[in-house]
Amino acid sequence: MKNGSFPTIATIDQFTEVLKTEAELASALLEVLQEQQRAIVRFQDVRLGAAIERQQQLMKAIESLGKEWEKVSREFSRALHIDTREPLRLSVLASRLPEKEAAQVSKYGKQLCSAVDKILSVNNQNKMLLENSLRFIKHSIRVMTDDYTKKLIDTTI
Amino acid sequence: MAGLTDVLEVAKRALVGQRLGMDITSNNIANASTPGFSRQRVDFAESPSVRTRYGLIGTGVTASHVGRVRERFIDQQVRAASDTFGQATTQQRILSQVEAAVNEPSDNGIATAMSRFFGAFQDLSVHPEESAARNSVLQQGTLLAQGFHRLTANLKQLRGDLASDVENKLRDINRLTKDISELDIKITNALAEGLEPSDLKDQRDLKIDALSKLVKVHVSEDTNGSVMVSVSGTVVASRAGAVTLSSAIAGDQIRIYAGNSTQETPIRSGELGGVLEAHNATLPDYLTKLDQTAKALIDRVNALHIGGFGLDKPPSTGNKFFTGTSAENIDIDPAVANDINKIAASLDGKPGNNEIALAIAGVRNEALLNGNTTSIPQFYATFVSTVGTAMTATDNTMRNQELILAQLESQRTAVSGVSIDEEMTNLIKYQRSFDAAAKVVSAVDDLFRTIIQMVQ
Repeated sequence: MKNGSFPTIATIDQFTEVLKTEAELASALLEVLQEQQRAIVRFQDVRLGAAIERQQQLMKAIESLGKEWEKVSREFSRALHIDTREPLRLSVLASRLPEKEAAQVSKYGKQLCSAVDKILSVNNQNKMLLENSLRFIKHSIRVMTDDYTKKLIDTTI
Repeated sequence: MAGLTDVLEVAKRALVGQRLGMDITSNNIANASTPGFSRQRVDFAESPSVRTRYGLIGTGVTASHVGRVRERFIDQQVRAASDTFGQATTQQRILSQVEAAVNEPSDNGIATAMSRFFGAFQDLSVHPEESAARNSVLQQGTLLAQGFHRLTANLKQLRGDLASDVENKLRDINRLTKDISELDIKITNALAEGLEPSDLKDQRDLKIDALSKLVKVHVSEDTNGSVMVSVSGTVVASRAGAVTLSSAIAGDQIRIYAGNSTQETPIRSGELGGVLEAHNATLPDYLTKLDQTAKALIDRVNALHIGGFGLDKPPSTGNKFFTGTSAENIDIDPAVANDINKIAASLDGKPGNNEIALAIAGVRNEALLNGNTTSIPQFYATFVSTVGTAMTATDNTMRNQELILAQLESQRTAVSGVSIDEEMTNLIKYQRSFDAAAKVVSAVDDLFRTIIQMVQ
């Protein structure tokens, strides 16, 4: 047993459930971003469009879950006498919970952190790929509208 | 009759033109999977009109362009990405080998050996007269020295291997530049004869692409279809021939020279650039840091040990613990190695005194490096972390470049690749046009027969 009073089992379950859902949504978002990457590399605009739509749906779900997270984590922090003005650290929370619940919180926390790291990485790669595509588009426009010396067909007979 | 002959001529030109179209299309289909193949296209134009009493009448069709569909911008981008990818791949390979040699964190790494060495002196400070504690100090000191030897030997071996790697890469580069020059001569000769050597141009582009992975290239093309490939401002392949790159050792650095020039050709990217950087900068830096770690350890431990007293009778003093000045030659002093009683634990020569042993154990926390701001274990830990950070950065670069190359290849395929659907459509188009032209020939033939029968 850890310091301070204890939140109800319902609150712990709620908290763990929200954390688990967040981790799952983050993993789903990561998959969608990877799908976008594949579509960008292969210039598959329809596939990219579908992936962007799915991303938007997931972002909506993450946003509404964010509000739920705020509510639950505030209740939790109050029950554990953690200062609610400070950002809530999962490691601090886990240290106040019994072993089984602490293990679950750590597990979903790690899953979430790992997914977020990968999301940032894939997002940066997608940004780079889109910038590369934009360079090619600008070049093609310039070829078509400006510089007549650059030909697509390279010789005549 | 002359009029009918003209019509026949027009139909003949149409047949020839459509047949050329079918030739090009069938060649495209046949080479759909050929690496480096750029699809070809034929453009038709109206033959010049002739003046007749009825006005200007067209004289049929002629093929005005036959050539590859190739986007040079994409080629440039592919080559730039290949060069960065080549460098990152090489760096990653080399850093993997360094990481394996450093072998941290592990029980066999230098960090653990250092910790055990200082720990042994700590134990000796508790039991300064015990031979087991003294043997442990000797053993841990020996293992630590061996750890330094091993890592130094591995890094030097790796550096030696890189020197061979440089030669291999130069051999590949020189072979490619020779091939590019030879192809260039064939291409310009063919163009001068009015022929279109698309296949040779594809081969030349493939060679330049392969070269761009090895070293950063700049390619310029003149109006005669000849290319000049330069590396760091030196032309290495052109119609005039290939310039051989060679290496020479200056001090312990490998330098690259072009032809008979005595001026270095600086190579900073591509696979060759990656190998040179590792050989000339990265590995020497790592070896220097290793030497700094070992030297700080040798100097400080010896400074304390020399002022201490052993357990022998009379208690010996003035003995070093380590010999050597670097990670390569650090060793246990023979006097100490042969007699554990010469290990100095005491400050005043009395058997129970442990102040020297305690002081040597405390060296682990002394700020001795980086202008007396960093302890020896911290300095070594920073070195290990530098290798790890470099590895992570290289991995990221490699992954990014791999994605860009994949994207550029998709772009290239979209422009220059063969679409079977498109070619089949073209084939049907040319076939129908050929049929129509053949019908014209047949119709003219009937007209000729009619006219001949009229006069019989």
